[in-house]
Amino acid sequence: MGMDIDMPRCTGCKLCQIVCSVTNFGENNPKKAGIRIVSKLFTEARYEVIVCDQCGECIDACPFDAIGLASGVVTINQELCTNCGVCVDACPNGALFTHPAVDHPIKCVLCGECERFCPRGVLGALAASGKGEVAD
Amino acid sequence: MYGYAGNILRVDLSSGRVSHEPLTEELVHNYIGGRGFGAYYVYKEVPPGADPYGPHNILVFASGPFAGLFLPSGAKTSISAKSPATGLYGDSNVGGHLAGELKYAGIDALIVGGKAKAPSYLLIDDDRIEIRPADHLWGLGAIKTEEVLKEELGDEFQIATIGPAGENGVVFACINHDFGRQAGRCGMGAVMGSKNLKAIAVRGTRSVPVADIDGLKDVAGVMFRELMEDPSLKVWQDLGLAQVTTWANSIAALPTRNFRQNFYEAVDGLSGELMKETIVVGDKACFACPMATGKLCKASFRGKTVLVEGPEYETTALIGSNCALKSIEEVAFANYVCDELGLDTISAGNAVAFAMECFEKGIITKDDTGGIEARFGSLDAFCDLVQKIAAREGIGDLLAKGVAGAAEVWGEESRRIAIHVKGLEWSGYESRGAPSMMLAYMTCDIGAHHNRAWSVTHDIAVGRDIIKGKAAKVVEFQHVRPLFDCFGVCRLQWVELGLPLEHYAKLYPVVTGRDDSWEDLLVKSERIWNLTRAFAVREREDFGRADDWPPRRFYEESVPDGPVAGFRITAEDLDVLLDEYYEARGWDSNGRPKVDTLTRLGLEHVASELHKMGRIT
Amino acid sequence: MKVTLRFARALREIYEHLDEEIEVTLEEGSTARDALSAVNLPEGAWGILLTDDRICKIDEDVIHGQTITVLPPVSGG
Repeated sequence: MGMDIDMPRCTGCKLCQIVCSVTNFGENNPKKAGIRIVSKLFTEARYEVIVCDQCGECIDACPFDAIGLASGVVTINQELCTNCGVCVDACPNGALFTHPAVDHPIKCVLCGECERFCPRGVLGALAASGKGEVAD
Repeated sequence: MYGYAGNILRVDLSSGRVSHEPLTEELVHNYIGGRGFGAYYVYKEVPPGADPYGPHNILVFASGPFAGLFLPSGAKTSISAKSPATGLYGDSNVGGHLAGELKYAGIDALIVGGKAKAPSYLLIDDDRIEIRPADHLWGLGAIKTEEVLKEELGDEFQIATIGPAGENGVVFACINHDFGRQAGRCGMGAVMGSKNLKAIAVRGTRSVPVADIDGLKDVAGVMFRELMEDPSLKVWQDLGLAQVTTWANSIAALPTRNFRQNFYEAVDGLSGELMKETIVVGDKACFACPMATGKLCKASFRGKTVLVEGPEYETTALIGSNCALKSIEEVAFANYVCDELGLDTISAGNAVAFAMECFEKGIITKDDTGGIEARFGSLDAFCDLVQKIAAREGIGDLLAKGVAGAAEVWGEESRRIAIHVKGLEWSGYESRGAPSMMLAYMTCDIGAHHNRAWSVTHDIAVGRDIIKGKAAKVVEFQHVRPLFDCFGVCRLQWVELGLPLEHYAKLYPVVTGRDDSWEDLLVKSERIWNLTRAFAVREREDFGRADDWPPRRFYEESVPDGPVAGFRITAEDLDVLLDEYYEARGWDSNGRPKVDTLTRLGLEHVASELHKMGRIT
Repeated sequence: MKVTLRFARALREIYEHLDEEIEVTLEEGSTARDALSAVNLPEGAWGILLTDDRICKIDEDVIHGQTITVLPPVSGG
């Protein structure tokens, strides 16, 4: 289970990042978000969406058993998390983010708010399976 | 302070000193942010007579209270300085992602003064601030510079750069950001270049505090919903600002052949629809904006294929129809050339069209152009001329002073057709058939730009031949539209999609916790308008009514063809417009603010300074 | 025949006599321009016209029952 992402339609507005921070942290700060838009403009004329696809590799990687599935969503238990960074390195999508003022990695919790606000329907319906690959 | 980072960053490039100042209540209360901060600091700190290219000029990058927040398109950074194009206060704003990033780095305004000894760039990474060598970047194109810095520093950095035109002090050199967004007007890139500053790179991780986060979510939620439900949105996403071209042509406002005409017979080749069909490869948006007016295009010429953001309307008008280019792909290529060189496409289009008409009239010849066949319709000539402008070679060195500067040398007949006000070239609306728009251009504080008041639809609605009674609308626009530049938010969602102003009035208290009404905010905007005018009055003893006058072409020639063929506006009409305007503003008949007016707006210190100088009564 | 005109909000702000939706009665063979003249809009007052999610040209013939969404001209940024 993860997000179905239509990347070529992404316009790089980063509304998803600011929605995520407002929703999950109650703050205006796109760096405190479980999603990132990366510009590939100079080389490929497009943007890349980086967000957790719930593959679960971080669950096995965590040395403290702080990551598990909660209602089908890969979730970090903040009580157990030591912010060691192993999961951040292990994530094949680079979808676990660190922030200097947050004492655990930040990842998508599938709240759906970014999908609701995305002006281009890029972050489409939460797919039943598979990875968030480019859907041309 | 809610809605703000709470901090002013000063960088003196001469000494290398970096210092912080807390944002003051007085500054926020009186000037809001963005352009307001720029006007405040430029008036206060740039002494009369200062060389725009000298160390005493300052370059102010300022966001505003709405920038970087969860609301539609809080994306605007205002960049202010004494303009080398006009010798007066100048500002230009840019979208993209810089405004928010500055705030996340803890900065509401960055004030750059002095001059670096060698090419440098400024790195701001939260609290780490460094002036770094930029020898490896000097001479590179503006977009290339951004690409190199992104590779060196990472994509999270938001970067503003100049190209060779800025390095070489072309008066219409722009500042580039986010691949293809520019603070185009007033030569802000030349000021940056004069300080040996090639780029600034910013990254921040802080949150921006707001007074009422739930209130913000409510108001912004409604705004986003209304935008998404508007039938226009899809057209904006599809065509962006390129949709304007055919409309401007249909109402006879499209600058054509150096503003000789306002109707382009070959407009079909420049249309937004054709652009979408033939060259658009992707859409691009500024921060948190559903409209995505940026169009990524591919264009080929002289065996070279380039990727460029644009052209949007202004570029299509000034480079396309105004230089009589034949296709939107040609315009896109020319757009790319200007972007890399770091030239404002509006002024560059004007400068080239001006040279082309002077060439056609025999005012200049191939001896002057260095062998270039400077004919309307030639993309070759366009590219060759702008290269020379950026390098300041031959004819380019003259045109690098703007059309007003070149006309000083080319003589009286050329002055008649040098299309500018106060030294700033005219943007994309030919206004002989739109008197209130003509007045808007004449009185815009930075020179002939449309952003302060855009009132063509007002002329259409009340009658295009009506002169009397139009000044009030221009004044109204000149207060409300620049408010958006103070907030650090884009105004397209209001002016183009009709998002009601009430939403912005509601945003202000939830973001800032301040209880100013919309009317209070408009008074602040009027204060800023009078302050930038006061800068001009203080700067030049002879500043006045003559500086608000358009080029003679517009009142000596009637419109030759198109939907309003035969239309003309007379010098008497212009006087009526100006008299009404000065009256509405509380300025004297020479266009100088009266002591009472400045006092009413809380500018007593300015009134007293100008009064002592004998400039106002 | 009857044609429905829908006016975008930004347009209604300039021309206050317009409702969100106005039905106009036209002769057979009328064009989109005829429909707009029927509600007293001056030339140049409108921007793009949309019908069935596509752009409708101003001189295009309209048919009974058609709905045309009238967008404002752009406002110069």
